[in-house]
Formats: sequence, C-alpha cells, structure tokens
Amino acid sequence: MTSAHALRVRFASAVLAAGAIALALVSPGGAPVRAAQKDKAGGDAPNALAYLGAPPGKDAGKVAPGIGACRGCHSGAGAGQAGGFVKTYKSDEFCRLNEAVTWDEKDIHSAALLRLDSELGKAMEKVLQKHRPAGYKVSQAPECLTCHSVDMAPEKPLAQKTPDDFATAAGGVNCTACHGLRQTWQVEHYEEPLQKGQPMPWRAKDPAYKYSKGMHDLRNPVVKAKLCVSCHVGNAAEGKIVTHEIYAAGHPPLPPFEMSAYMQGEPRHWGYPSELKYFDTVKKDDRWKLFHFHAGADEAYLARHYAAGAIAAIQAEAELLLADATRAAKDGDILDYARFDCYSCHHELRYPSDRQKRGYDGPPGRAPLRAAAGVPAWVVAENAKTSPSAAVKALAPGFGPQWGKLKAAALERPFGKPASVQTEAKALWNWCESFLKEQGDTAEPLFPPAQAKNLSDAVVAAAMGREALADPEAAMVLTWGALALTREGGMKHDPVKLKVLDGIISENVRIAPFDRMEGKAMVPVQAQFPPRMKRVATFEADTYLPAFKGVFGK
Amino acid sequence: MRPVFVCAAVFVACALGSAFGPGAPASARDNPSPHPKPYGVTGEQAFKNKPATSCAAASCHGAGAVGAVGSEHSTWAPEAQFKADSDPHNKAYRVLYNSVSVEMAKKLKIGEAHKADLCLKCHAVPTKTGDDATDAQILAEGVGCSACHGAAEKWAGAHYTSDWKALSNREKWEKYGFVPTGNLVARLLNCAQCHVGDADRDVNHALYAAGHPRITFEAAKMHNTKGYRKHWEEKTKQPDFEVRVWVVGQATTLRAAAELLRVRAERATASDFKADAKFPDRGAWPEYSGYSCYACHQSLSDTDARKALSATPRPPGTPGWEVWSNAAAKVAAQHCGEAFPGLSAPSWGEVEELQKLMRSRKGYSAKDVAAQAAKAVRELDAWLVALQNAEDRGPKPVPTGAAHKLAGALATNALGTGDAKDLFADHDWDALAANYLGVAAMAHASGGANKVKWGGQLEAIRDGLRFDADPRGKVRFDSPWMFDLAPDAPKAGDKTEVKRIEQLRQRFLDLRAATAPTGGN
Repeated sequence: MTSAHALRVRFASAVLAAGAIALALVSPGGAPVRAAQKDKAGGDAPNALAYLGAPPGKDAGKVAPGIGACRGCHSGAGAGQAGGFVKTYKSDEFCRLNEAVTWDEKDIHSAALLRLDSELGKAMEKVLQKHRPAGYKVSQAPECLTCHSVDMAPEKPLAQKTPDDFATAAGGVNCTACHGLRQTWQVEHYEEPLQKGQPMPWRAKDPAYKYSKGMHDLRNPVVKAKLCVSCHVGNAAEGKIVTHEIYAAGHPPLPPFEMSAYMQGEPRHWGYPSELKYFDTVKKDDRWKLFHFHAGADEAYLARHYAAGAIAAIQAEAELLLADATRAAKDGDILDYARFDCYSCHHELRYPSDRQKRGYDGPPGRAPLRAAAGVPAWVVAENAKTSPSAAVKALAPGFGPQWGKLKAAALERPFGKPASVQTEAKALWNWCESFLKEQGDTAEPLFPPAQAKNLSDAVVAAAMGREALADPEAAMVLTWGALALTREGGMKHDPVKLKVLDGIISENVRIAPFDRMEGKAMVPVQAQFPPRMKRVATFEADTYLPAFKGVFGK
Repeated sequence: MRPVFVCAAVFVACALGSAFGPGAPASARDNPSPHPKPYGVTGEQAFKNKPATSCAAASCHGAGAVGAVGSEHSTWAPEAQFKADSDPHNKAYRVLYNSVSVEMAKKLKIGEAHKADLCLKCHAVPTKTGDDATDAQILAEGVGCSACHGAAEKWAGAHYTSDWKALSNREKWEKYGFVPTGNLVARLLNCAQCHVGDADRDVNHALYAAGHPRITFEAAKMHNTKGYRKHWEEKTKQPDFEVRVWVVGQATTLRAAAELLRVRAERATASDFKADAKFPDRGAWPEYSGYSCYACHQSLSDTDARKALSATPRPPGTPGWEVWSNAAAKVAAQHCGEAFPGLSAPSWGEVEELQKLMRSRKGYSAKDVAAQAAKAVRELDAWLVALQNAEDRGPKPVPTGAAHKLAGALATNALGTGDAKDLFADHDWDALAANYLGVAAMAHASGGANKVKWGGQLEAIRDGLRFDADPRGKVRFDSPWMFDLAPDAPKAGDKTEVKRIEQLRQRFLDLRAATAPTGGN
C-alpha cells in the first residue's frame, strides 16, 4: 500500500469511524451553527446541506484558491495533461474537460474581480469615498471582494476581514469559489487507481466523502442553488449584502435569481447528465447516491433545479431580511430599502398606472417585498402539493401562509416592522430549510414528466397573473422560468413572437452585448445593463400580456 | 406653451375651521420662553364659516364686472361657460366627483370622496352651522371666500365699519378670525395649509399612491400662474412685490413643511395616537410624501449619471427630505435684507440640524425628528415674525439690482462650492426646479425673461426641466422620465448625445456666469 493510499484510507476511516462531519449551516440570526451529522453507520443519508456554506471537514487541507493547476487538465481534451486521462479513463465523457477555457473566454464570473477596476468600479469608488474611511478602494474593500473574488475565510465576520482574506491574485470568481477551496480534493480528484484497468477512484466516492475533502457537491441542485444565491441574492453571515447604498453608488441591480434560466443562459462549462456519456453507464441505484441526478425519462432535470433555485432564493432573502430586521430593531432604524421590491418605488409617475390598476395589499404606497423572489417559490410550493414524494407533499401547504405572514410584516409599517419581520422571516427560513433538506436528500424523482408539466404550466400561468402584470421584475423572472421549463418540456417557441416578447421583457438574463470579451476589450457594464433596464422602465401590462400569450399559445 | 408644473394647483384647496390644530411644538414645553408666532393660521381657529352669498351682494363684492374692484366674488365665481381664465379654487369641490377622485376613494376605502373629511378639508370649507342646507351650500362653493379670508362669523358684519381700519392686523386675526391677506406672511401661511399641508390636511404617500397629483407650493409661481384669474390687485409694484413674495414664500413653505414633519413624527411616537380608517396611513412612519418624489420615482436605466454630477451631502441611496422646500430657502434667509431693507439674516442653526438629521439614519427615528423639527419650526417662526412685522411697517423699497443679485445667488446655490463648484449642489430635480423657479421669479419681477441679460440661459433651464410627453400619447408622465436616459435614447429631434441632466448642469453653469455680479444687469 502506498503511503498516499494509506493516508486516503485513514481519512476515509476517520470519517466513517467518527461518523460525524462537522457542518455549519448559516443559521437565522447570522452566526454559523455547527451540528454533528448523524452517524453514517446508522444508515442516515448524509445531509446534503452539510456540503455548503461551511468550512469543510477538518482534514480538508490547506486553502488553494487558484485556477492555475486546474488549467493543466481542464483546457480541452487535447491540451495539457488531459490526453492521458481521456485515453485511459474517458474523462471527456465524465466532464467536458475544456472548463477553464470556457471560464476564461466566455464566463463573466472570470471578470468579476476586474469589474472592480472598471470605469463603473472607479465611479462607484469616487461616490463611496465620501462615506468611507480615507484610502477606500473598491478593489481592496472586503464588502466588494466578498462576492467579486474568492473568499478564503467565509466564516469570518465581514468587519474583521482584510483584503488578504481574498484570493485576489487568483482571478475573479474562479473554479475554487464554487467547487471548493481545499487543496486536498484538488489533488485527490485526479489520483489514478492502484491497479491498471480500474476506474478513477474519485468517481466512486460518495458526495459526503468528497465534501470531507473540501469539494462541493454541485451536482445536487440544492447545494448548487444555495451556493449561487449566496452571491446572487446575498448572505448576511458571509457579509454578502448589496445594500441600497451600494446600489445608489452605481451597482447594477441584481437580477432576480432563477436557476433554470441562469443555467441555460450561462456559457456552460458543465454538461447535463444527458449530455455526458459516462452518466449513461451509471447504475440506476448509484445515480442519485453518487451524482444526484436521474435519467431524463425519470425526472426533468431543469424542473428540479427550478424548484431548488426558487426556494433557495427566497430562503436567502429571508436570511437577509432577518439579519437586517435584527439590525433595525437594535438601532431603532428601518429596514434597508434594498430588501424591498425595487420597482414599487423605482418607477416613473405615469397615468394610467398598472400598479394602481392592480391595487395594493396593504395601504396604498407601501413598498412590498420582492414579488420576483416570492412568486416563483410560491408556485413551487403549490406544485409540491401534488408531489410524488409524501414528505415533500406534507411540507407544501406550509409555504403560502408563511410567505403571506412575512409579506404582511413587511407592510405593517413603511419598510417593515422589524420585530414582525424577524419572527416571520425566521419561520420562512425554517420552512425553506426543511423543504430544501427534503429535496436535497430524497433519492426519489420529484419531477417525473407529469409533475414537471404541472410546474411548467403553473409558471406560465403565474407569468400572466396579478403580480406579474404590475411588476416588471416578477414578469421577467416568470418569463425566464416559463421559457426554460417549456423548452425542457419540448415546446418550440416561434422565434418571431419570441423576439416581440424579448423587446418588452428580456428573454435572457444576459442580453447582448454580454460576452466578457469583444475584440480584446471587456464590454463595459454600462453597455450591458441599459438594454434590460430600459425594458423594465417602460414595462406595460398592455403590451406584455399579448406578447407573452403569443409565445405560449395562450 | 405647456406649463412646467402639471402638478398641484388645480386640485388643492384650503379651508379653515380646524378642530385638531397641531398645538404647541414639543419644545415649547421644555422651554418656558414664549414662542413668538406670526399671526395667521399656524394653529387653531375658533370661528364659524358663512356661505359666500353674504359676500356676493351686488353692492359688496358681486358687482358682476370681472376684474373690477367691487366684483371680487364675480371674478372668483364659477361661470356657466368657462372662459380662458378662471380661479381653480372654485372647482375644488367638483373635482371630488371626477373619475380620478372616485378611483382614489375606492383604493383608500374612505367612502365617497365628496363626503370624506380627508378630501373636504382642502377641497372645500366643511362647516357645521347647524343648518344642513347652508352647510351643503358652503361645501358646493369649493374653496370659497372664508377659506382664505378667514371664517366670517365675526368679521363679516364688522369689516365694512369705520372701526375696522383702526384694528391692527394681529387684532383682526386674533379677535375676528380675519386673515389679513395684504400681509404676505399671513397670506402665504394660509396658502400653505393646503398647498403644503398641516395636521388636518395631510396628503400622505397613501393618497399619492391612490392617485392624487403631486402637491408643490411655490408662492411666486402661483401668483403668476397663467390662466389664474386674480380677484385682487397687488398694492406693491414690481419688482418689489415678487422679490418679497419669493422670500416670504420660501420661509412659509419651509415652515409648513417642517411643521408637517413634526406633526407626523409626533403622531408616529404618540402612545395615544389611534389610527383611523377615515384617514388612511395617518400616523405611518417614515412618511414618504415628505421626501423628494423623484429620488425614488426614477427609472433605473442608468448606472452612473446623477451622482457623478453632484456634490450632495446625502449618502448614496438616501432620499432627500423636502428638497423642494429646502433647496433655495437658505438663499432667501441670507438675502432677506434685499427684500426687506434693514432686516438681517435669521438664525439658521436648527434648520440646518434638521436637514442634517434627515439625511442620516437617525432621520428614520420619529422621536429624534419630532424634537428637532419642533426646534426648526420655532426658529422659522422667529424669522416669519420679523418678516411679518417688516411687511406691516411698510418696508423700504427693494434696492435697485436686488432681483439680479438674488438671481445670481440662486444660480450659485444650485451648484457646488470649492472643488465641486462645477457640480450640482444637489442633483435632485426638485433642487434644480426650486432654484430655477427662484431665478424665474427674479426675471419676472424685472419685467420678464426678455428684459434681463440672463433670460436666454434661464429659459434653456426651463426647457431642460420640463417633463417630456409620451411620444405615443398613451400615458401622461408626472416625473422627469427622460432626465438621465442613456445617449442612445435621445429626446426626439435631439442632436446631442449629452444626457439631459448633464445638459442642465451646463446650463446652470451658463446661468451662473451670466448672473455673476460682473455680468451686468
């Protein structure tokens, strides 16, 4: 037995013997709580959520936040050191192997850090300097780096972070930001078997083991969703909050998070299981256990992601609300404007008005929470009432009333009554946690074709509903979901009608020009956002509804 | 020509007979020294109204010759066929029957608008004389005589007697309830009741969201609104009249705004305040109608335009409190000696503290705000008393060049100082409009924009501030929706690629240069 192998066995044994993986969930209230995972030997499946938002297991090794080593193999099947793996292990059938190239050339995550030095970054810096200590630079500010770079100390409170806590030398939001920072897995995942002819050992390891080595289980939709929303919605415990001050200083509006559309829209460096040959060979029983997927005939891949994304997004929003309400209650302050629906305030004063036509839930003129965060989750919860999983079905009725209570707490006084928001946000967070845990753990296909069709129909219906007609952001996020889910369901959209709809509400998260590179220069943010924002600014139910109906044959 | 302000004037009316006056500011209890107050409507009024029939006799104010002395009521009164000019106050009650009012009342769940106290307080002079027919008649008159001249119970029978002229203005108000509108402070305080608001007449954000047009008060502009048929002649001639109206208007408007803020903040903290469904959202805090509308109501179509051009001390993302009423008030305070020779600048520390508070996070604390607003109201009242006394004394003529000097001060005020001298002092549309309107008043006082050297620069700013119409004619905009659109969406016919707000900055720079002391008059 080689020493490396001995070490590996020892690690694995340690995990099994101790039976506990320390996991840290971001708890409501902000402080990470550690909980021991149930004894694996006792038969419980590993808690999917354990893989996320937590310092990895004790033995996960030192932090290695770079991308340099990754490039060696992941720059294309014919490049670098990939050749041997392709030849021996058909690694190009397990993953695309050109991930680094896609990321470098097409994925704007790679430009995240550069953005801080862009024209807009400099303009924001100038505005913020008046309200920050001397020498403030956005490219050195933890409040910016926490999302725009790789945070090497996510457990450290924002106030204590220094620029050195971020992997600024290693590019923007690189491989390790999502896949895991630890060197241990980075080395181990390409270790070859001891005996020739055997498969790559890493592929046979279950996700809990991989997590103990510091690798996130991004094949699990719940884990992936939670990771994405920690920046794309926010995470108070990790200091990832785009406040209203930051928006007002010039930060572009964060588009609502909708995982199925984001997955379709991003230049993909990953393959769906249906696209990678290896996954045809995985035994049915191992599909969920090892790789958290089901074959297409058993489950709609994007539908499951849509559900996880929608609930993770509202959970992240609930966590931000809870943290902010706690601050506001302590300081006798109001909640931050950024926690509310942007377009309830940020609209021109125009008559007739779609909002006045819709009417108001509370007294006229109070800003509600973001419908774009709540409506997709509501649709998912309603759909779960007919879920094939008894456990998911049992949870389903809980969402609507709790979301209603949180919305009411936010309308109890202008910009929310902190004490009520605290209570209701916490309860909603807990509901989401139960739901995600169930969805993350269960090996059952939750979206067999009929259930996926129901979800897709419900999203289409919501996109024509009361909330969407008076709120461009809700219309936008529901349109994205409707397009992604109906595409997965096999619907072909008439390109002419789609173009009409796209002129009213952006069909994609990213609309041209959005490539990182155009020629050799980065497309400035200022050129990217106005096309989408102008559609939002001129949104009218009268033009949107017929265009939407046209695309969906309603 | 389309008026710049499509907002308030037509709809708003004022009324006397308040039963729930704001009472003494909180600080008055802490500080035993008497609170010097101008006479006029800053508190409770104790007298009853009378219908206008008692004014409209042919031998009194109803002689029928529109525009003539003795025909004041005829000039004010509604006519069977509207001519070009009229007094919108007479339509104030009737608008409560129109479709906008009906829809608003539904959203606010207040029953019918023309019966709701919430609306009637400004749109009519609701009265309880004991006789229903009389009360109905008074209501139907809209904002009738007693709304501005005071409840006529006592003074109707006295104001034509020989003893009347011997009374001081303060006596006419305190003993008879007559508003001495000849004194600009008393007059404008009266306007401000409805056109800014008070404890009883609170057009809050719930009303706006339900569909109420925006309320803005600019005294000089309203005295010269096109189409407004005045039933009186100003005794003071130009430029003195308008220079004074502008200065007094700034003082009264800010005073009313600060008092409204105090009332709202106090309601929000009062343990005994009970919400009343008849007055939706009264007692809510923070109250967003007290902030600049377009700070929030702007499209997010651009990422950089406004703040890059601004030296505003407000932290990013903080809406400005009453920018409309605050932006130019300090110029009026510092230069009130121009309008009233011999008068020195009032103390301004409490007002500044209030402004500072309202742009900090503490500005969301109703308790802190109530206390500081009370101090600011006292400070402003002291100024108003000085202005009122100066008016009553019969001030010395406004010195030659005063209008020009004020125009220069306002153009300078719109822009920053020091390193930021070429940026906006505040980029908010309200700030630019308030400064523009001040300069416009000075031009008007001087005989019109074509009579001053800086008239062209002034008109260029007016054009830049206008709200564009929807090119499709489909919707009506009541916000500067083209203010900072990106250059690829220029206004139809615009040759330039410069954003509107940047254009405006250039035009203010031009105006400052043109009105500079060396620029000549």
